[in-house]
Amino acid sequence: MLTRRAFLHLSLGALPAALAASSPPPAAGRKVYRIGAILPGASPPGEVLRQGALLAADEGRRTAELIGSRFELLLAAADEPAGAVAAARGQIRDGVLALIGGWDAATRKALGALAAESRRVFLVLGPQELGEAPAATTFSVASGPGLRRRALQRTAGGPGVRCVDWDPGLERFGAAQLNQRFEARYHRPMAAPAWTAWMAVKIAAELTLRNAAARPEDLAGRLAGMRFDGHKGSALSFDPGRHLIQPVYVVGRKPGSRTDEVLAEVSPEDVGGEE
Amino acid sequence: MRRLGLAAVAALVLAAPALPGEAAPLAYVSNEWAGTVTLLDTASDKVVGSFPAGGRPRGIQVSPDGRRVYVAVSDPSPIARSAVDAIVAFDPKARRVVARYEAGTDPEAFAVSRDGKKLYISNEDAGTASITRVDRGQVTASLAVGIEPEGVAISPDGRWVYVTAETSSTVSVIDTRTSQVVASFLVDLRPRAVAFSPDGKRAYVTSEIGGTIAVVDVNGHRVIDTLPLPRSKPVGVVVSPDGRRIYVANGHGNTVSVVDTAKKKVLATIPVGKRPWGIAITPDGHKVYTANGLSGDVSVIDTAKNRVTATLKTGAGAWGIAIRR
Repeated sequence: MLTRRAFLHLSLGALPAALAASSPPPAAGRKVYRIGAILPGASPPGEVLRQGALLAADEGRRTAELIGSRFELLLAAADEPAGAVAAARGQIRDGVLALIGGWDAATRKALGALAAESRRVFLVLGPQELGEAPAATTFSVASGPGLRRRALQRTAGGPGVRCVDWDPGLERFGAAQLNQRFEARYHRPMAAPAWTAWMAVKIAAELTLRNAAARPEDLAGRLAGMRFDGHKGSALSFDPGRHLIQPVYVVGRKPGSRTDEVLAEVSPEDVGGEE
Repeated sequence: MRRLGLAAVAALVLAAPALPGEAAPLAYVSNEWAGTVTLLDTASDKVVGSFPAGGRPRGIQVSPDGRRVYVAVSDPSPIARSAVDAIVAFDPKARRVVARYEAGTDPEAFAVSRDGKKLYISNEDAGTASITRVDRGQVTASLAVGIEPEGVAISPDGRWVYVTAETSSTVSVIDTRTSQVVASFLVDLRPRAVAFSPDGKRAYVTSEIGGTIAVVDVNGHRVIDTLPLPRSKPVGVVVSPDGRRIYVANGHGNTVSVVDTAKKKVLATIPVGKRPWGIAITPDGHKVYTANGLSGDVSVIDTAKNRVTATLKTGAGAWGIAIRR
């Protein structure tokens, strides 16, 4: 069921006054790049996903304004596949160029089918499971199951050790700055789902802003050849299976420690690729 | 949090030997973890002094008349704001710090106007560029630029200031006549530094994650070419005085790339110290110096031979380097 639908037009008024005062005024007739995100409403990760998406949407809006465009995020909440599909159909009617969502497998499948039918890029947030067959225009922003499994196999660890795509304790490669921006805005650490949502919206923003003349149905082809900066120290891109190739982090507790920390950073090349 | 008042800073007099002859300029190296600035004699390639800058010194520039060395100092905690944030002015003749200027939060890199009256500063955490008037010692304008601004450079004619921004992968253009951002454009991923050609017609922007250099037509403020630098992490960049070569510090690649600007091809890749960041060239173009953060030293490159001829220990976290041009 569709629980909530909100239109986010991140206007100049959302900026701190000191910045807004010295920014160039938004010009009429700017080209608008609009994307849609359908996130869980009642499910636990919903709020964290939404916060990551909103941070990236604000950054995408600022970047678009700098280069004379507008970037907008249409945000909807749905907790089961039928509601997500209904929300996504509405967003497509509103002119979105790409869709983001699919935290659970059933919603991934339903939205993937709709995206393929409407020839829209679909950026998946939820970690896919072994054996999932994504639709033609579906791209997984979360790391693939093979990489996560092999990262855990090569790292010694005890109970509670897990593999994640992001950790709020990361500092290198601009990670500290991203973690700080998120925490300053939401007063909570940037957990892995927040990073995945932030990355998905960032990818959608760069995809649309850097391919201004492309038709929506051409964007999937463009996306396959692009690279992105996820504050992980290397350029991230999609492999032929349409998983984002990226370093992952094994997190757990060292002997005698009471807090979790990053035990190892594992790059796909360290373990022979994604699958 | 450390506070460094003007009086205290002014008392930090160099314990260094006499200045060398005027024939060869000094090179000034900021050491971000040591909190110091090291002076090198580019004639002898020897360390001739150092002084404490306070906090975390990174960006470093020499005024056009050579009478001041400016150092961007921020709080040693990477993401903390504090009263330490400032541009410190050092008198190289008297060998002491003579002033501190407002610089906005977390100042990192900056450029000095051609008349020496203004500083254009990137404020990484605020997403702004500050303009500080030296005679007032105060920030007189704060301009919205890209997200996580870093590299700053001013065109040879003094008209344009380019400010890179790491997260938005943009370059914003400030018109120095109006102190307004008049254009912005996208470049490759995580742009770090920018340098203008001596004739002012081209600017070169390094992109660390993209592994490329963008060639910018300054007249139109637009990218006209993007040169790949294989197996590189380009950060600092400097153009030779004749405009024929670009020298790129490759950060975590631990090398310097030498690029022919006419042929747009890499002529040489020179191994240097660990994590070269800042890079500078002597006015005669004969030597290039890199500040190597992880090895805490400076590599000296003979540009005729394209090889390192000396390595000078400076301080922990060598970051920026400036030579009066």
